[in-house]
Amino acid sequence: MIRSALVIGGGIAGMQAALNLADQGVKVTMVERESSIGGIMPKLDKTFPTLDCSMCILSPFMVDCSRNSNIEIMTLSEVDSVSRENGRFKVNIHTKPRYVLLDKCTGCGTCVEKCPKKFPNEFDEGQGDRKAIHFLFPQSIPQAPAIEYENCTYFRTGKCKLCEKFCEVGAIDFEDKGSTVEKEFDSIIIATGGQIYEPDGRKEYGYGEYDNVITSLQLERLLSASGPTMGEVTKKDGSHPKKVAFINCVGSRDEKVGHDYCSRVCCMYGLKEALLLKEHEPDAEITIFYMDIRSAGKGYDEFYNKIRYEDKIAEFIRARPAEIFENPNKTLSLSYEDTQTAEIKDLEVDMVVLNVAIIPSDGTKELADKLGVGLNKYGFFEKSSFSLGPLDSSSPGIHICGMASRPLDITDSTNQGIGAASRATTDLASERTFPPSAGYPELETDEKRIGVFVCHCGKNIASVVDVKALTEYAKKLPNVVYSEDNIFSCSEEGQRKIMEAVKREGLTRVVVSACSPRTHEPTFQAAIRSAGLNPFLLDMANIRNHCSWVHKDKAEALEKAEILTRMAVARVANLDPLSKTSVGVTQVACIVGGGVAGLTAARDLTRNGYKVHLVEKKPYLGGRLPKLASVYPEETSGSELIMNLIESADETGNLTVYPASEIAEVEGFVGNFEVTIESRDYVDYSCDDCGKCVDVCPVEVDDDFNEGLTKRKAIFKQNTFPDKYYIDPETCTLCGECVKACPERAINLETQTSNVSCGTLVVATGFDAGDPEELLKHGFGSHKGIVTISQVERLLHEEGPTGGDIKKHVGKVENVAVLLCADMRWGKNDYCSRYCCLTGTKTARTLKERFPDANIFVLYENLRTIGIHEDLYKEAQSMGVLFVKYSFDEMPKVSYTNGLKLNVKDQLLGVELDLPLDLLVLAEGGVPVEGSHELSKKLRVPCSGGGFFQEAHVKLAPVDTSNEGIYIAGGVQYPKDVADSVAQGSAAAARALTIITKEALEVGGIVSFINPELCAACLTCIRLCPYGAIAINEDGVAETNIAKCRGCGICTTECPAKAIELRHFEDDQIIPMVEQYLGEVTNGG
Amino acid sequence: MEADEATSTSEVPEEFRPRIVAYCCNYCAYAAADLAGSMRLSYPPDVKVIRLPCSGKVEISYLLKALEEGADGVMVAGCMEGDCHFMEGNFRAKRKVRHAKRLLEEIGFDSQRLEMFNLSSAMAGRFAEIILEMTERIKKLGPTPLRKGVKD
Repeated sequence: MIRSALVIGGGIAGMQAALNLADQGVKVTMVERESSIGGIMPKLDKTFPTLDCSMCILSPFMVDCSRNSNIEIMTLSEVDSVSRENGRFKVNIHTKPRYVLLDKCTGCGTCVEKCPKKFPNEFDEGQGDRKAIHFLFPQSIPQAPAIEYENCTYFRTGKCKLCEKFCEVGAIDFEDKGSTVEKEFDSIIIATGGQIYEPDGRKEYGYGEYDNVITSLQLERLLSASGPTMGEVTKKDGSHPKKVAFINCVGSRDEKVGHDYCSRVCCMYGLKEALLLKEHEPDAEITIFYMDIRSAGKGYDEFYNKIRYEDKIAEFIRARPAEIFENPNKTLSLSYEDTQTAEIKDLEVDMVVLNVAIIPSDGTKELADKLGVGLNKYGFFEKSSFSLGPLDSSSPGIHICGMASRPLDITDSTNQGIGAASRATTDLASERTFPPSAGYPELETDEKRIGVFVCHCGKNIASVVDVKALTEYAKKLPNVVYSEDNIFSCSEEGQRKIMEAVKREGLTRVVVSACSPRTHEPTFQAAIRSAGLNPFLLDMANIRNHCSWVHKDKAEALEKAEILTRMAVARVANLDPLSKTSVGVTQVACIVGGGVAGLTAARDLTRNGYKVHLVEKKPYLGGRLPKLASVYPEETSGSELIMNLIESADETGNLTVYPASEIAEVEGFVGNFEVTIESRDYVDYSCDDCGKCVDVCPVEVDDDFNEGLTKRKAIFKQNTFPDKYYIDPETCTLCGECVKACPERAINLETQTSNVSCGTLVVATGFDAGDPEELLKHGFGSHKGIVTISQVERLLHEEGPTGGDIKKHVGKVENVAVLLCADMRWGKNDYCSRYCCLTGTKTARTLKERFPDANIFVLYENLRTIGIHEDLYKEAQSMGVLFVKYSFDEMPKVSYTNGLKLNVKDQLLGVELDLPLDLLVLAEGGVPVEGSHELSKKLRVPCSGGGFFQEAHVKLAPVDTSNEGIYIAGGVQYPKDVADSVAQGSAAAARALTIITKEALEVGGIVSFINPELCAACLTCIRLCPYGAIAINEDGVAETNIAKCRGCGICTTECPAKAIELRHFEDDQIIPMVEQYLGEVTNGG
Repeated sequence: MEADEATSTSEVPEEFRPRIVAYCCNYCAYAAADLAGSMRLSYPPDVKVIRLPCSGKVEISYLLKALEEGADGVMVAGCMEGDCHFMEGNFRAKRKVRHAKRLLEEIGFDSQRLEMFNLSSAMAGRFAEIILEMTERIKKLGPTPLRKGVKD
């Protein structure tokens, strides 16, 4: 039986799940209730923090879903009923009538044009109009319109049928009754997303009543170039707003409307919208009302600081406006109490944007009942465990990802969507199936017939570059026989037009003048390949990122776009058809790092039936987790959680663990890596725990497991895995005393080297807690009452140095302060490490629980208990923990010479507090692990600015790296909490599975080629090749191993005989670009 | 006829618009240029980017050819030193640029018209800055003596 999975919901999480399942050889049915897949992302103008065009980055994924032969998309469809039989699910799926036949419709849009009636456009959040027959949005997949029954003139009056009359292909079917089908699946993924809160529950803001009070999603549509106003931000009367107020937390952190939780994305999208609004309306005065700015994520705090402090886009007021009044001239008056000055103030603006909450999507309850899974108290799908089961429901075989379970940003929805794909496959026992290779067609003619396709990119290009003029210009270029312009070349329709033109015009080469080849070359390569052309006979001119987006002068922009197109035409004329060949894959994975993310990846991979080598630097597994006294919200000790995880990874017999080991070298390439592992795991499993070795060990060091609170020997034991004594190779002096003392002869002080072959690597080396240099500034190390959160966890842990009694360390616990952002955001580390507000608040709450009479303060700058962790904040508050807002300009001052004291200026009360303390807890953030730069070099995976590993794309490829086949998970990418690390662990496993489930991968294409006639076997290239891809062959000349060559081209530039060319970047493909740019060259071919 | 007009009005056009070729590494400089677009940074349009898989793919002949064809300036942009996607391609590029500069000096050609830059894919601002820097530099130097269309 073929493996199959049902994905419910076609938003970004569902698409990521479906694509990664399909790429592991699983047949996927994707059920989406709208008429197109896409979810919320198509409604967004740009994404934070990189301001990528949301549609641009999403579109290739949507098209991939539609093109993947393992994915069946069912739109306008919902799950009707579900039953279980023999471990499989029987699901009835009901499809509503579209009244348009998908197998006939060409997506030409004539019907939409002819439809006589207009109605408010729901996709534009009720702004603007759409017809009764319409595309959900221009790039919709499938690329076909649907008739809205309620609004269709024919269905209401029995007359009209204009759409049917004008449809040239007979695709309209008024008799469509919809259908119900029964299908069987091995597992189900819930990816139904969330939806925005319609703020009619907050009458005091006048939403729906006042003209110019809109939601953030409505503003998003106004900002969008393809929105109802074509990217103009206008008020109801059509004029442009000059004073705009954004109100955060509308429907979030709000008991009044029953959503106490933080929606996690609104602070960031609010900042982004303010920035974009300022770009649209440079004179606009913008005010942002906020409670805390929760810019917690990679690059998020930097984004916030730039907007607020560097570019000063908006005025920030910490307040929640009480009420809004509409004035007779339609302006709006807000009254609020500025919590930082305690003044009651008024503000008059002409537009208010409500940054609304994310709530469970309609129908969540009904679907949960059908599936037999539970909901949490907020009405989202309940997970089996918040921290360790973030992608699983309590019902086996049913998994959850994305906003179906809680509010998440696109990055985390993507992590979860990809991760769900590896969770789901652990349920599947049946066969995998892969589509056959698309092939690399030969070029049958020498004739150069070039087609140029110029993209409008909505208005992104067309508003600056005269696209029509460029299209005409292209027609006159050498060898160009055809050119046309498209609104979105990357849309299904745009791609279809390219394919049609290739066939109709007999094109042999294609230039797409559009956006960046870095993002869209694969899309257009696949398109021309579908049309029977070799995919390498394509070039792109980047007239958007390198032209329309950076130049304002239209004449200059057109001139540059013409030159770029001319250069691309010159290159494409000389490109050669290339092909790839198949090489076998080592169907084994290697994981570096045995913390919670790495172990999660190990569990998912081993349970999928693949062998895993797990390399851990420490002599024991678990990373940071086993040190924790309790993990929120499970309230279970970290050691218990990690032992469960290790057991479930180990029980398959597929796991080989290398403790006290490091990666010495990585060679090879995706599908076939050779990893050299150096192990200093000096104690073997014959150790019988007698402990005689410890007695004789002369080395005493700080015990890092106890965060330096105690000492230990270089040979020691922890209550974790593996269950034996270990030697810490970093401090062991190799004196050999233990070897002599060991009655079992279990100790051997030699470094072992192992070579393992694997098809893929997952890097999950985590982060280090705390920047010692920064913590010193608060007196850390100078007074025993000054401790870090990691130390508190040990002091509260039953197996810790004080047996869980923290008083043994500090004497009394009557006055405690927890300092958030102790080493983050204000000094050397200018980023937010995202988890420390959570751990800091948790620590305060736990201490209050143990010492109810103690005064416990949490000092924060912006309190970032994001998402459902807001519960923890409220709980701590209700228990009597006091929260004091401080400012980075007036950092709290610690003194400890005459008793421990802390001086802090309370920003809300405006008073200085002098707090005598027994305990000052420094909430330390996450910094890159020592040695991560060296590891990044060995793996050839770049680090981003702060030293964390760089993902391939911050939103849509967060676990991929630029080195194909190497994936990242957990803290190595950025500090995060347990749940998010686990989700990424599963995501990295899913990506790894897309490699090792296959027996072979395609290699070659853009590789170097050495002309044996010219090669003098001087060995220069062999010495220079960074990948060892060149060797002398039997004929005595150098030859490239195409599976190893990564296409850098370094060899080509150094060969003294000029015997080497890099395919696709050959001299006669590069030089003509220069000539075409500079010379009045008459290129005859 | 147009060429006649151009030469007859003045030797140097009133507003000199330089023509600069930029060989950019796909992983850093080209990506930074993409990001500069995403961030809507603004810079002069006088540089045209040629994408290469690595700055190490730059051949000395590419640099000289562009100048010979009449480029007013040529630049190579690779990853930060130590961060090359292909390990040390950017050091190879650096050596080639240095060597080409020496060749130019030998024949009495101003080697300032050729420059190597290093930046990361995240440094969109730096990319815009580099383009401005190079454009300004070339504007000061004036048109290349090898400019086509002003031939004798």
